[in-house]
Amino acid sequence: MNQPNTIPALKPSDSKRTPRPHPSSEPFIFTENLNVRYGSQQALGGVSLSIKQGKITALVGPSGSGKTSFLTCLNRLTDLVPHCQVSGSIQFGKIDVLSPDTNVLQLRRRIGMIFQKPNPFPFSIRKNLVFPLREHGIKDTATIDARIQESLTRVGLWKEVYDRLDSSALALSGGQQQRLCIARALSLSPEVLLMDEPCSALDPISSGVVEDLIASLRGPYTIVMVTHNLAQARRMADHVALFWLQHGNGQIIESQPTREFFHHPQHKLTKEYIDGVRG
Amino acid sequence: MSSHHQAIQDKLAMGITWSVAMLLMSTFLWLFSDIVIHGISGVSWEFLTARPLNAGREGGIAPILVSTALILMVCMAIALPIGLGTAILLSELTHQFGWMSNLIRRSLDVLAGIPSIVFGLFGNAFFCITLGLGFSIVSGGLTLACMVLPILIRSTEEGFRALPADYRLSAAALGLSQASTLISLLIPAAMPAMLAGFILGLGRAIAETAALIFTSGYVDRMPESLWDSGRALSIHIYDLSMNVPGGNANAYATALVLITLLFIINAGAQAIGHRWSSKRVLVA
Repeated sequence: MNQPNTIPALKPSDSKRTPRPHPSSEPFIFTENLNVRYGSQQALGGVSLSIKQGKITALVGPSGSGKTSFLTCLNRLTDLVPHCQVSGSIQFGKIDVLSPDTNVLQLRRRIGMIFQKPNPFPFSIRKNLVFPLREHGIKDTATIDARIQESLTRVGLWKEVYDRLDSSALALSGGQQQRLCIARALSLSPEVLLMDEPCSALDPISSGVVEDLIASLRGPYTIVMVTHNLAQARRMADHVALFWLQHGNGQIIESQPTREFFHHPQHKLTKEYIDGVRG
Repeated sequence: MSSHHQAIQDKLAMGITWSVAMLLMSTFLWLFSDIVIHGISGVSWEFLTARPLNAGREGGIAPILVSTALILMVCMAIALPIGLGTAILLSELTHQFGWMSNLIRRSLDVLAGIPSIVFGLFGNAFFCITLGLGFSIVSGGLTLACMVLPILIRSTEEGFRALPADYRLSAAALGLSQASTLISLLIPAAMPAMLAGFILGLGRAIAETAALIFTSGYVDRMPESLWDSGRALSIHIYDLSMNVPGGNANAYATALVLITLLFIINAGAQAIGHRWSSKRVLVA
């Protein structure tokens, strides 16, 4: 069991599961020359990016510039898209993500994902959390209950729902549903969270709550977030990468620490995008 | 155009829509009331529990009810698993079986359009003769299964397709396998559509005549096993009204029983569907 691609399974005995922050400057996820094609349509061309552990990396850029395609490569969700071909390399820790030998189910356990539209399952609040835990081998009721409370508390939902865990998750408000989805991802103790415009389908108040929650996850979790909201990227991100459609496919134009990105953009397009002239 | 003109046009359109709807309603009401008026006096507890006598002119329909139930049981026991499996293949695994699912879908459309008498002759040739099952409840049930499969599969497939793509994506993103996503999430979520398909299929099967005449036969004795021939309700009605002079009264009574059963099945389906959608929690 010492092959480089073996991902440790989730063990019920992991009592302190929150990943320990390793404030190293080594890239945690590293993509090199990443290409994505949907049939004959190239969506992403030659994207190289390093993502640092415990930081929030924001992916910005106009619609159709390949941000979401990039994000879904990282957890191999692209496997689900018919005729989608991914080439290049993605290194996650010691794992070669794109290798056919990689256990994608374990990979996705370690790299959670939050979508634009909250997508709880049509189950009770409790079952939304129990179902993934059981599937990942955690059967002990006491452990499950503890995890439910822990993850709901982490997203600030416990006090709001503890007395109606068995009622439908679909009856929650949009913001609550999104926080439940974050709790569902957190319950599996991932190391990375991919977020595809997690606030954009929510009303301004819920959006603020979710944004604060995401900011509070920095450190223990590595976050890669697609956003169309430059102000949000500026407030939250440690690092910003600008995607742009060039020569018919999405590329990264500029990738910088947030301060540099906004104050000293290197690329003309970055400056125009920040100033609202382009994009 | 003046507003006066528009008002007339509106009234005209309204009138036509209404009269078409009323025409439809009245056809149904005429049919239904004819059956009720002529049949109600014949239906009694006695009628439901007695054997037919004198070629069905007298007595009841107990063996016919039992045969119908057995035929439907065989039909659904075979059609449900095959239907569910095919619907899953068509909706969830198309990406692995592209050309095959196209072929299956085409075949189903053709099957759905085939007249039931052709199913009856096929069932007679294949199940009764080639497989040696003879005129029996099993032969009838299997023939009906072939007939209701297209309806069952198509409505179940539509049920799966109507599920939000989010379910599959979010399940995959949580590292759940395709199999457990299917079993624990998609099948329960598609259950109302499957049920609707089941009811439609059952409705078609319970009212079927031509497919059964040459397969389950028309022996009106109480069946002793699934290998016995058994007469279905619709065949009893057909036989009484076409071949038995003086059988009309009992034909009407039997038709009333059949229609009542159809009503009960439909109402049951609606009640279950309603309960499902109002609770909105599939499995607590």
